[in-house]
Amino acid sequence: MIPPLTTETPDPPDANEQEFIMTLQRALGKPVGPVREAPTGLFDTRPADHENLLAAYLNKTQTHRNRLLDTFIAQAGLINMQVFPVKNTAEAGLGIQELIAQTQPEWGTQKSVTAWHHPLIDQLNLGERLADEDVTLYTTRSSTPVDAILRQELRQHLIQSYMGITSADFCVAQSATLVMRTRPDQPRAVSLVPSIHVAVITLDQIMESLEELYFRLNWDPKEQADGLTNCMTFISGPSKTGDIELVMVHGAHGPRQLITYVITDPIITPV
Amino acid sequence: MVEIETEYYRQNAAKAIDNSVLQNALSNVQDRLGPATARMYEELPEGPGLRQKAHKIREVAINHLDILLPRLASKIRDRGGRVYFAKDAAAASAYCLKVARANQVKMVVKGKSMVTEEISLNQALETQGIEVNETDLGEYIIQLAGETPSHIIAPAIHKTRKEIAELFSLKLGIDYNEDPPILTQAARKALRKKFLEADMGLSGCNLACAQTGHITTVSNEGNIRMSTTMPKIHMAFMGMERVVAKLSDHDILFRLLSRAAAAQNMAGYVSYIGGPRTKDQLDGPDQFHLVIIDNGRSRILADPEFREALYCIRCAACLNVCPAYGKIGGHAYGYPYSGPIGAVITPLFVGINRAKDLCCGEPLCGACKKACSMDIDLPRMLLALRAKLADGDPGWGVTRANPMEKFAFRIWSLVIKNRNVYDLALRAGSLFQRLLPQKNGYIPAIPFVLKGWTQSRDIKPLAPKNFLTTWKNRKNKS
Repeated sequence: MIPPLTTETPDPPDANEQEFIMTLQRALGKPVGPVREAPTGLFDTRPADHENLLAAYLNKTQTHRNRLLDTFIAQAGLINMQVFPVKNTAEAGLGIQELIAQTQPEWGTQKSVTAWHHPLIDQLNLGERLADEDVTLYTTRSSTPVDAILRQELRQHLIQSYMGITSADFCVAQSATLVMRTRPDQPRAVSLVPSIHVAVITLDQIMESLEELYFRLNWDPKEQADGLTNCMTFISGPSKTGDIELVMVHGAHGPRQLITYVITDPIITPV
Repeated sequence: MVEIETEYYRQNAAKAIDNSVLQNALSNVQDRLGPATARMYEELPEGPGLRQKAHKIREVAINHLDILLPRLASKIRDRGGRVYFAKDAAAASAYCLKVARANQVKMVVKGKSMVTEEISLNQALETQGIEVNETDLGEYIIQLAGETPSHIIAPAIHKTRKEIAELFSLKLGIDYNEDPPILTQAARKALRKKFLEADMGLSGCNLACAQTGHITTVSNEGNIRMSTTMPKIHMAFMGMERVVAKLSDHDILFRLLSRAAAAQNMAGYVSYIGGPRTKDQLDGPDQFHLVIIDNGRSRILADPEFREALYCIRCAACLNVCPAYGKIGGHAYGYPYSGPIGAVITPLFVGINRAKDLCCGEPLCGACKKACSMDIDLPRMLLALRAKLADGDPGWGVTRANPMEKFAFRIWSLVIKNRNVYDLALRAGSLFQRLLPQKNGYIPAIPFVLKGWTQSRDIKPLAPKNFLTTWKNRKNKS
């Protein structure tokens, strides 16, 4: 058993580190001594008109949103990623149900699926939809703190699962990039270990560019609260490699297929 | 320690040029990636000029390393990660071994990382009985073959599908098959087992962000995500220069990195990692360690002439356009870093005299500067290295590569300053050259002190009548 490192006891900078930094200071021709304050502007500073910029990003017109969806679909097509616009969670759930019926596991014969416990994914009613099928569905539910048994359980289910179902925090249209942050109920390996990764997002999560993404992460109060977390992942297309004579092959170590459902109607969150 | 073979550059290059399989592979990679990247730069909304902005971003970062690295470290420590500053290769490997021993690590999985090649981490772990599994498909292939990477991002580019098929049927016990999807699937199956059983995952770091306190890892295969998610310990290694200040800097840098490295809009996977699993998270490593490595970089930092070399983010775009790399391949450079960037930094790492042929072998054509995602002036630094070899440099411990050369040029400068002496020398030369055999109108070999001149090229004989005489005669006629 490896004792987990806790946040209560961060290592203080030691003599070794101080020597390392002093070497840098000398190399840069700066006075040698304690680490200096960062000069203004070294890190991102809030632009004066940030409220207007943020409002523009958050309140896109319907036409703009549809255009971004088109961009996303076109870009996704270039990287072997399938995108299906659907009206609502019922359509998305049905789509996934059909997908499960049509696809076969890569390892073994049992069809196992792991899905995030997530407000949007929960609304797909996958439990009910798959009740009559010979499909094992595992939903990732955390507890505080997570015990070793629960972690081992997730790991086993993930290894057995041929499909992982997640949502995403954002989607960057220009490069067809899904952005996900790790959260207690939303483990990162669901989008990684199974052979097929299915992501369900809503239209308003699609943004134009990386510039918009970093702006929102920096200055949207809602995003600032979470920060980048300890693991934020960008996913653009299924796993791929060109290491043998530059021939493109999908499914190197991660999912061989990446399918995204985009829900276009506004979501009514149950109270 | 890493085997430094820079002294054998000439021999290795000659061997590579005679290897027709390698020549095909190199043409394939250069024909496909070089022009594709150039086209993608053109198609950027900001155009190829975006590289100058990236250059500025890297300049600011490098000039503030003394502030950015402590900030990065303290943010990661706040999340429960451990950060170790390693002054050299030995210290970095020793730290990794210490952690491995404390946690009874028997097997590690590893994402592709040039800095771990530089510090010979695999050897350090293997001598302690720890099994190391390279997991990038290209790295896996060359590990099975017992070779070293020949390209920064496509490490097995020198191997054909036939060779890989033979290798896999021998080492993995599968039926011989040359089909890349079937070979990839065989590696996927073999490595999946390793990912799930490994005690520790090792990775490099593409670009850390000091503002938020994260490293980033980039891959297309998903092997780095596997290595950093499934094992209980994740240890990342970064050259100390691989950090930028602002989060928003990553917009420009990742767009350029993806285009430069593989002609993509965006790499398949980019992960921001800032610490171990939190108590309420279901997966991710229990321990996260970051090793920040100097290993000769602070010396480059201290020299304004070469500081720019630290702006490099190892996209390998310069390899994909370099005429020298395109003929001799990565192994000829005798060190993990090859191509134009290797020809600049390898001499600075291992000794300029020891790696003198690397910087002299590059043609100074400027293709690397045009392809560089960070707009680094590699030709300028190649020339600066050559100047040090010509004149010697006590600061870098460089002795004159060829003391005769300096003497010869001094004589030459005296000769060309005096018309009569120059004409006399020309006349002597044209008499002397009659003694030499000619081939197709060229002299293939000059003997004695000048023989180096014709070692790899033929020389045109002096014209029977020189230009000035011809000019004078023309004038007199008219």
